[in-house]
Amino acid sequence: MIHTARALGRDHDATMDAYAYLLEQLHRDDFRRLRGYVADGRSKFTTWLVVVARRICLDHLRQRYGRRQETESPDREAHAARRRLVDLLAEELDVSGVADVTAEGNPEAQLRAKELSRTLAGVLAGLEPRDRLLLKLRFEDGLPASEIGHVMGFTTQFHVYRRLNAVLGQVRAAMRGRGVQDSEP
Amino acid sequence: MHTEPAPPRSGHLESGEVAAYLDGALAPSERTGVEAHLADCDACRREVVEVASLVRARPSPRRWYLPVGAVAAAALLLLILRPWQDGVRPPDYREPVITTTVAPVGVVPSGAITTAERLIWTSVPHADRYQVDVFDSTGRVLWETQTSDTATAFPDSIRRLRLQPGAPYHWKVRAQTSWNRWVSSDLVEFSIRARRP
Repeated sequence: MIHTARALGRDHDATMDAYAYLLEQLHRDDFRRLRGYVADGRSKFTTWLVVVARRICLDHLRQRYGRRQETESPDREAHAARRRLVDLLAEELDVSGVADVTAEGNPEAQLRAKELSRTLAGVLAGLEPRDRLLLKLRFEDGLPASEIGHVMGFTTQFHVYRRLNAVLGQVRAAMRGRGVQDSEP
Repeated sequence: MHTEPAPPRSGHLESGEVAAYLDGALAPSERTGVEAHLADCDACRREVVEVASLVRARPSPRRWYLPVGAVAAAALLLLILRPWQDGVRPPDYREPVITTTVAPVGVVPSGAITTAERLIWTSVPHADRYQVDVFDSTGRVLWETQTSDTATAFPDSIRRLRLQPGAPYHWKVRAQTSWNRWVSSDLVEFSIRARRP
C-alpha cells in the first residue's frame, strides 16, 4: 500500500499523508471497504487492493490539492501533444494524406484528407474491441510493447508485435477495400 | 470484423473489474465488454495501465528459509571468533556495488527504414559489454553479437540476404553492468521499406 501511495505522492510528506489517509479509510466502518472484496476467484486480493488503494490515494490528493489539471502532468502533456489515433495510424499505414489536414490553401487536398480520415475512423470502429484497445495503447498512449503485454495479457512482446502487425494488415486491407490506396482515395 | 457487439456500459469500471481484467480472470464476454470500454475511456485506460505498472513493480515479500540450526551455528561461530575484536579490518578491494541502473534504449533501426546499415543504442553507465540480438517475427534469432561500443554494423549476410522488405523484425540490446548482471532494452521493431516501382 505504501508503494501505491509513493507512486502517486508528490514528495515524502505527501506520500506519508496519503498512506495515513489510506489506512484510515480502510479501517473506517469496521473495514467496510476490505470486506467489499469478494473472493470469487475473479481477481487476486493483492491486485484488487492496489486498485482500491490507488483510488483512495487519488481521492485524498484531489481533496488536498484539488483536481489536477490535465496539463500539469508530463504524461498528459505528452499525451496531448500526440494526435488522434486516426492521424497516428495514418502515418503508420503510410496513408500520408490523412494526417495532412492542415494543407492550407489547397481545398482539394483538405477534402481528400478529411475523406481519408473518415474512412480510417470507420475502419477502426469496425475492429474487435481488443484490437482497438491494442492500437490505442500503442499509438495514442505510446506504451512500449512490454507494458502492453502486461496490461492485455500477451505472453511475450513478440505476441504484441505479431498482433499489431496483423491488425495493421487488417486495417490496410479494409482501407483498400474502401478504395484507398496510399494517400489517394 | 466484429464477433458480437459489446453491451454499452454506463460509467467507469468497478475496482473488481479492473483487478479481474489485469489478472486475466474475466469470462470472454465480460472481457470483450471491458476492452470495448477501455478502448473508448481514457480515464479507465489510464487506471488499468497504472495499476498494471504498480502490480508489476510491487516489491515481493522477502521470505527467509534459513533453518534454525544454521542460524544458531552462525551466531555461535561469531561469538567464538569475534572478528571485530582484533581491531584490524580487511582492506576494501571491491568497488561499491551498483544496485540500480538504467536500461539501454534502442535508437536505430526503428520503424520502417530504407536500409539496415547499423544498430545504435544509448549507453549504460558502467556497462563494459553489450549483447545485441536481432530476431525475425517468430522470435527466431537471426544474428547476435557482442561489443563494447554503443553501435554496431549489420553484417553483409543480414544486410543483403536475409531481411525481406515489408517483413517485421525486432532487436534488443543487453548491457552487462557487472559480472553476470545484465540489463535489457525493450524489443524494437523495424522493417525494410519496400521499394516502390
